Amino acid sequence: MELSRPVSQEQVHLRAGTLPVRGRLNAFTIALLGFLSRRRWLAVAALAGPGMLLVLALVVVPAVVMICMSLWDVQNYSLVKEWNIENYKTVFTDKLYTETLFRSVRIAAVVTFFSVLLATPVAYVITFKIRRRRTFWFGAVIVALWVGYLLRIYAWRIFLGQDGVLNGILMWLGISDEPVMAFLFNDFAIVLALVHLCTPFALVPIYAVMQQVPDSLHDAAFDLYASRIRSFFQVTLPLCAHGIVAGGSFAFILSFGDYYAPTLIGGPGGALISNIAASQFGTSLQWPMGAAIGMVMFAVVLLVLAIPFLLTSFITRRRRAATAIGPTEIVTNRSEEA
Amino acid sequence: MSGGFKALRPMASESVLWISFGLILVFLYIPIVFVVLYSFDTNEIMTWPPSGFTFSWYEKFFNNSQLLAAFLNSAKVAVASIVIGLLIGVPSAVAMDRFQFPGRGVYQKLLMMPFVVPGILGGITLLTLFLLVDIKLSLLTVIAAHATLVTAAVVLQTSVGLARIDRELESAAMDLGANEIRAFFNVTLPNLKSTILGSILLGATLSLDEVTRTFFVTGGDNTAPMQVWSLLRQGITPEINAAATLLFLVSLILLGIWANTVKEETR
Repeated sequence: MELSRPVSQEQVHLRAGTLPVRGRLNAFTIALLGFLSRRRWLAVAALAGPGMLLVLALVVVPAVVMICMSLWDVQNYSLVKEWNIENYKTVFTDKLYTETLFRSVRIAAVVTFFSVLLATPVAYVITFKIRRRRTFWFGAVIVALWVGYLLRIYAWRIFLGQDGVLNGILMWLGISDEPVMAFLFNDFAIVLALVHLCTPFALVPIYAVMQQVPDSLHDAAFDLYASRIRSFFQVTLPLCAHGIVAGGSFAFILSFGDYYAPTLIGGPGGALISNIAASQFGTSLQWPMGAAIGMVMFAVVLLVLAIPFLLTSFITRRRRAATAIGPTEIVTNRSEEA
Repeated sequence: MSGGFKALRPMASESVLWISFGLILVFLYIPIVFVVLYSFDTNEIMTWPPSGFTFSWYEKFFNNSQLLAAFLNSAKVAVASIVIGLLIGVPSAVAMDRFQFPGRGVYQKLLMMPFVVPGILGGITLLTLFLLVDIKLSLLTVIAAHATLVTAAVVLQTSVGLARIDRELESAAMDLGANEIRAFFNVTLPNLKSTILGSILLGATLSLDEVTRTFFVTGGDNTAPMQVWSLLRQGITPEINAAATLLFLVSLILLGIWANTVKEETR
């Protein structure tokens, strides 16, 4: 029933996203009118209406308020609605903010790299090596999440601290005579705790995508004398690329936005950009500044999430170009030979 | 796989793979092991080797009225946000699955926003709104923050669940004279049972462990993790280990229930 309905050329363009803006608006009105005339809007309004209200009230409006607030000012401990861009100027020029921002991005990038590096072999082993009781092993990794966000960071403090377990074990075994201070209160500890926090989250999409890779492809690769490693890099990895990108995005979003790890186990100068943003809403009462930092963080996240998207579209465009050129090249070569 | 040297290389890569798998699991379990271990240790300063076995931290936990109240608050928030999430998320997912409507893509992206944007930004945006219109921070504001997150989880899970259901079943019901609404309630909804249970559990774990948004919008009544946070800032106490161990146990039981229902359905 749905399929047999004639589809206008404009709708085809609209779906493919190839219409110019003017045409898109036109097609949108046509679609809207058709939609309204079929009375389906009643069903949609009943089903999705409350959700739209929720999204409007708790996602859209707050975002707009944050944007506005980032352009306001605080004087004498109260909000002054005078539009200005001073907060952004400070974020982009004050060394405290710029350096912390770069350090936060760097730490989040390192955490993302290691989370994906750890999650990928786990997904691979569960999918292709264990086979039986896959769900149990996947669950075993995910259960590691269940002690709680804060506890998983704080546990590293027990483990790495001066009187901590690692030092205790090292001295107990006679490897060191004195407690080693270097484990805790530095960027290494932050990265370690955040990798631990993010790895299960990175695993979920990577595992889900790897489930879709058919075994027969590996058999084919082996039949063609590819080694395991080669079949992994040339068959499995490209097929799982979008899962890895999703997992990496999760890890980046989570680690870039975390402000508990630096507070609990970071060094004295360990504050990250999220700590600075959070502190603006605490005792310092600098809400507009906090909102501006929030906006900058949002921009960074969007930028980072766009990287894989831009990269893949670039690669596919180049591939398309290559296939377009390919055959003609062969022809010219042949003519030269002749 | 014909003996000799050639067989060694795949074996080497195989063992490297297994060893790294084992090490990663150990890495992921280190905190759990030590949190559970030290919840039973007599020594107040958690150090190696453990000094003796005790239940006193659990006793202390059950006598700590502040922590217990916080756990009750967490339960309230979780239940409320899950109810909101289901009432809003399931119909929304159905609407997006069944109908092409203008703005569908935008709506879907906005619903998924809490997963795409760091929690801290969810907290800050909500807080700026509450500050601007002068809403007092309380458990209600916490519920509002959690509801956006749980709704996103419900929509995600239900969309996947709906995509899996054979649409022919619904057509069959309608051929037999059921209208669209009846077909949905009698055919589709029962098939969504494990999906809905799954989203309840996912919602519960998300809400019970939410700290990044809650930090900004919490008022005088703390949720459990926020109470743990204020304890952590005062100093480490093994009571927290006891609380975490209990919470972990509860989660394991919930996970077991879910795993069993899923197994039953696939049978």
